[in-house]
Amino acid sequence: MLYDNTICTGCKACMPACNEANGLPPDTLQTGGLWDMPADLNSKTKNIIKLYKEPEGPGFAYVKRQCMHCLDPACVTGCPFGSLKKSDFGAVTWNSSLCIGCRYCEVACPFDVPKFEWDKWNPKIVKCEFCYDRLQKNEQPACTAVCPTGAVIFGKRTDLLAKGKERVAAAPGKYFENRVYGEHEAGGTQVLYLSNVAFSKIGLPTLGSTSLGHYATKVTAVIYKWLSGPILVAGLLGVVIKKNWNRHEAESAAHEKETGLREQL
Amino acid sequence: MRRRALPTRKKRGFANSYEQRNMSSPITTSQVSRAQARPVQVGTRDAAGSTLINHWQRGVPVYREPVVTPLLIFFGALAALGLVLAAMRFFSPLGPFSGMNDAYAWGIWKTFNVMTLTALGSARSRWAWRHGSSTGGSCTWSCEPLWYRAFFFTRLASSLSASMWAAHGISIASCCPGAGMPNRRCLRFDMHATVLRRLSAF
Repeated sequence: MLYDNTICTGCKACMPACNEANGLPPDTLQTGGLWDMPADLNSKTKNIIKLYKEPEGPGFAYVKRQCMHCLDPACVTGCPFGSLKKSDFGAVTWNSSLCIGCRYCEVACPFDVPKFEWDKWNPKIVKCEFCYDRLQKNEQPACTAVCPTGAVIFGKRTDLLAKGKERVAAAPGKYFENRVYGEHEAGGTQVLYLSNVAFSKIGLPTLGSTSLGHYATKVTAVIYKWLSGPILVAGLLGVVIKKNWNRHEAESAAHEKETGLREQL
Repeated sequence: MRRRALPTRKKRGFANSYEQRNMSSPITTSQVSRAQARPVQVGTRDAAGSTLINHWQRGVPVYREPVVTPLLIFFGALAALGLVLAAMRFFSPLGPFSGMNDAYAWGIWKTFNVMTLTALGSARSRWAWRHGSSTGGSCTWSCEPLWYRAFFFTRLASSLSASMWAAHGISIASCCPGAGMPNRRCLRFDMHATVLRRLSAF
C-alpha cells in the first residue's frame, strides 16, 4: 500500500469503507452519537485520516494511519502465543483463539497500532489486517478500493516502492527528504508513505533500519535452539538436586542411627 | 454441677497439655514398645530444644496455640474483600475498572508485577529468605539439605500470604489510576474510580 498525502483530499471515504468491510461500529463518542468521528485509531477504528496543521501559517497535511504491516513485525515477535502472525500477502493478522489479552503487541509496536477493547467484558485486539478476507478473494483492501483520488493504492511492495521513487524523482523537493517512508524503517514496512511535511509531524516515528523484533530474536534464537538452553539448565539443576539429596539421605540415615528418630519433613 | 476450668494459653515450647502438666502422654502400648526399643524416650527434647513427642524427628517445635485468632479473622475478612473485588473485576471491562487505556496499556500493573513481585517471588534475597517465597522456597528445598528443609512449608505459607497482600495492593492501586503513569508522578487517589463507585453502589 502506498499513500501520498499530496494527493489525499481528506474526504475520509476510506474510513466508513473500512468500518463496513470489518463490521466495526461507528465511533460517535465526540459527536454525541450522531456520526463516526474517531480521534485516533482505537478499538472501533482500524483506519483513520488525520489532519496535521502547522502551528503558524496555513500549511496542513493529511495522513492515513493504519497498521504498517512491517516486514518483520515487532508485534508478532512480542506476542507470546503466536496470536499475531505474518500471513499471506504480507498481512499481519490476529487470531482470537490464541490471544491471552496480555497487550504485549500494543507495547511492542513502534507505530502504536494495535488497540484493545477496554470497554468489553471479553476484549479483543483491534488492528488493520489488510482486509485479509478480501485479499483471499482477489479483492483490494476496502480503503484502497474506494479512494476516489488514488492517494492510497494497493499492489506489490516492490512495485509500489518503485512507483514512489518515480514520483520523488519526477518532482525533486516536493516530498520530505526526497524519499519513501517505510522503505527501511523498522526493517521495512508494507505500507509506504510519501509526504510533503516531516514524517515526524504526521505521527510517523524516526526509526532505524533494523527491525525491532530482531533485537529479541537474535538472543532467543540462540538460547532456545532445540530447547538446548532449558534442557541444559534443567540438567544442571537435576545434578545439583541429586547430589544434595544423596548427601541429605546420608545425613538423615546417620541421624536416625544415632538417635533412633526418623526424619519427618 | 462441677464446672470445668477454661483452657488456658499454653506456654511456648511444650508439645501438649500432658507435658505442660508434667503428666505422661497417653501413648498406646505399641508406641511404648517402639519407644522403648529406641535410645530416646518419648516426651524428651533434642539438642535444639524441640520436644520429641514420637519416634519422628520434627524439624520445628510444635505449639498448641489457638488457630482462630482475632488477627486471623481480620485478615480473613480482608481476603474475602479481595476475592469480591477479584470477582467484580472478572465480570467487568478492564478499562474502567483499572484506569488503563491504549496509551498506558500496562499502567502500573506490569511494572509492579515484573519489578516487584518477580523479585520477591524468585530472588533469594534476605526478605525472601526470611519470609519465604514459592520459587525461592522451592529452590532452597531442592538445593539445600536438611537444615533449610524445615523452613520450606513456612516459606510456602508466607508466600501465599505475600500473594494475598499483592492482590490487595493491586485492589487498592486500582483506586489510583494515575499511579505509575509518566504524566502523573504522584499517587492520586481517585474517588471516582470504578472500584469505589461499584462498592458504594452496594
